[in-house]
Amino acid sequence: MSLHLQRRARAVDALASAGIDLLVAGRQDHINYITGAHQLWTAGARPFGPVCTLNVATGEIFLLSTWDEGVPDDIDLDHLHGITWSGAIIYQRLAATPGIAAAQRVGIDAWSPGMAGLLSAVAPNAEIVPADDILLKARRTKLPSEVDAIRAACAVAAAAAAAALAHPGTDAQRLAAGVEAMALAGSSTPAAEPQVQGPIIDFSCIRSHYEGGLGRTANGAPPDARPHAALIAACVPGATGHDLRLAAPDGDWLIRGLGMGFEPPVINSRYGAHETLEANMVVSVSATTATEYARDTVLVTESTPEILSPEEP
Amino acid sequence: MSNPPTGAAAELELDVGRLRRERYAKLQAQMAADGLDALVLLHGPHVAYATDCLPVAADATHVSANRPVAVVLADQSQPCLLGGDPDGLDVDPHPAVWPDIDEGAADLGAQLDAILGKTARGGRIGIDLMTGAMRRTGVLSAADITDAANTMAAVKLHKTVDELACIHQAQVRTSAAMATVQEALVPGVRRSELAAVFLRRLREEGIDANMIDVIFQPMARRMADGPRTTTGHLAFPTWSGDPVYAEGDLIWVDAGSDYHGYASDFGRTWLVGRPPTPGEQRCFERWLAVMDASYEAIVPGATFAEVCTAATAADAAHQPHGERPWMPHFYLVHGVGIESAEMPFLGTDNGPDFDAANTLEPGMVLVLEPAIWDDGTGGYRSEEIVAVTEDGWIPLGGGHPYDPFEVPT
Repeated sequence: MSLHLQRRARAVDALASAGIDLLVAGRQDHINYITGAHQLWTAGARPFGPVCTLNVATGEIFLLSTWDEGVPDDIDLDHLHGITWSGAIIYQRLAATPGIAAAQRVGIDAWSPGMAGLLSAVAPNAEIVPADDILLKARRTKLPSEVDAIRAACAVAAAAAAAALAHPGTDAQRLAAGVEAMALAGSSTPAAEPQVQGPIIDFSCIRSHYEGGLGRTANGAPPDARPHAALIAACVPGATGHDLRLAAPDGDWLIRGLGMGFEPPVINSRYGAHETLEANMVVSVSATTATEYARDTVLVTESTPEILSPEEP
Repeated sequence: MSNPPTGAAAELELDVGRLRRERYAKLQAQMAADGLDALVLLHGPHVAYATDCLPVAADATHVSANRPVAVVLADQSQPCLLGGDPDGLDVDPHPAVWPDIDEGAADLGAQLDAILGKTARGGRIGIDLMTGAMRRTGVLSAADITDAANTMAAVKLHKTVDELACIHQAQVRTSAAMATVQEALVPGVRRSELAAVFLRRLREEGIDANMIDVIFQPMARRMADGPRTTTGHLAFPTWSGDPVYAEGDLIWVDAGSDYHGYASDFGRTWLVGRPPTPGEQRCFERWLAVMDASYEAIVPGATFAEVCTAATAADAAHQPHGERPWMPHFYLVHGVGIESAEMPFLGTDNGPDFDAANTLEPGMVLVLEPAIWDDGTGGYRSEEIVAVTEDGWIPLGGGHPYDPFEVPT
């Protein structure tokens, strides 16, 4: 089964377990997870709107896309909605979605007063509930192909980091060189904002829907002495946020999920004490000490954590 | 026939202090008109409008994870900014929150209760977005909530002089980067190589916010050879992987980046490695005629419909089926500002009644993007930005050549 269908099956199971009849998704990462469609990347978070609907019982999907370029074959042209500028057309399409009128629970991945009014009108019998947490929980552990995609994205980010570290110019010039190298290596879309501040660099990208990234300090310590080394070693199945706090160095640190972009859990000195790591989760692990910053992309395994980002640079 | 418009906008000079003051005054006045006690804003461009804390040009998942939140209270002299970098801004700073996770949303709720005081219990509050975590943790559950969209749309519609200056700067710098990219467009080059040049050059032009994965789309000469569409018309702009361009390829270019939170919109048609054929040049000249007719029709008080009618008439002789000279899924004109496409929209699927009921007003910014298509030959599409003034319009950015197409003398 193709990767996007495996992912969709996970999402459908999770939504069904939560008693959700219909999902109305507006966040591009959730839409990518479920549909596998390649749509134009734009920076920043959009306002909430109905970009994709998924009928949990039948698996029927409607996707906002004027064309079938980038859309997997399992979503037919007659299940694509062209882009519209009309609120009336958005209403008509939602109202015509099979199953919405009778739905008891409609899941959404963000909320606005305007969209809440619209959904109440087209799904008069339904409780409108947030489903972002259900989807993100389903996404937490990664399939083998997802890990491969993340590893490939890490290699692209590493090419950017190497170019920025090697460039002799100003921070701005090194950053430009890094971004240029990242595009040549396979991604013209950042995950986080790239950073070059003196010896400290951090690059990340989205490549074929998946994030990869790393952070380094020029002429820093060898890998096993980097500021986040103990934190990485502590990323084992069953480790709680509390356990990870005990392994953290003095200074800022963050462990957070990584997959189709930034994902939960978020574990730092303030949040996530109750979170628990599981095998096949992928996390970004970063730490800063007085002299050094480092970040890596790490796969939690049944044994020792596997670092997916290249050791060099 | 017109060269790309140039001139008046060169006098626009950004005054950041004035930009902030004038936007904040407009926001306060609109809140009073809308009967709002407070605005709570999470959408990045809205936060920037209220506070000048600029949006980060990163993936949506990162931008939303620990996004700054703006709170505007009626009659308060400065906005509150939760998170973000308050350094140098005229804001009341508050700690960062993580509104996408339940613990962070609970923190946000507590901060909002403290900032809003009794307004949080029964006051009328405009909000643009809530995360699932905010819904789960009951943020502002005791308030009278309304959508902030209309309030924000009203203040955005007419640009201040400094907003015009930002759009002008964004466009000038994007164009400068694109001039280098066009030199790199030779047979055998890949899309990723052009993107690499563009992203480096943008940064060299002082722009660190690229807002859309830059589009260099090779266009099939016959629509039937391109992707299938819901309109039966062109597919553009699509995701297109990493094609290698061959001599004679027809490339439609589209890019947008931000200067001080305001978007550019660069559109051009390029050819790989050769000058246009007579048929391609004819498409360009039809496009120029549509642009000239549109420029002529742009005056304050003109209805959107009048501009659309003028543009359509200019190409009517070439349209046996009465089609309009723009892509049916888009528009003849869209606005641009803190969003890459915002009101005004002319010629959309909102329909003729909408276009007849709305008029151009000074301060509106218009991105003209007609597109001419001659199936089998190909087509021409470029974009130009103008601002409506008291007596006509001025160009923003502008002056970028139409090479390799030639403007007839």
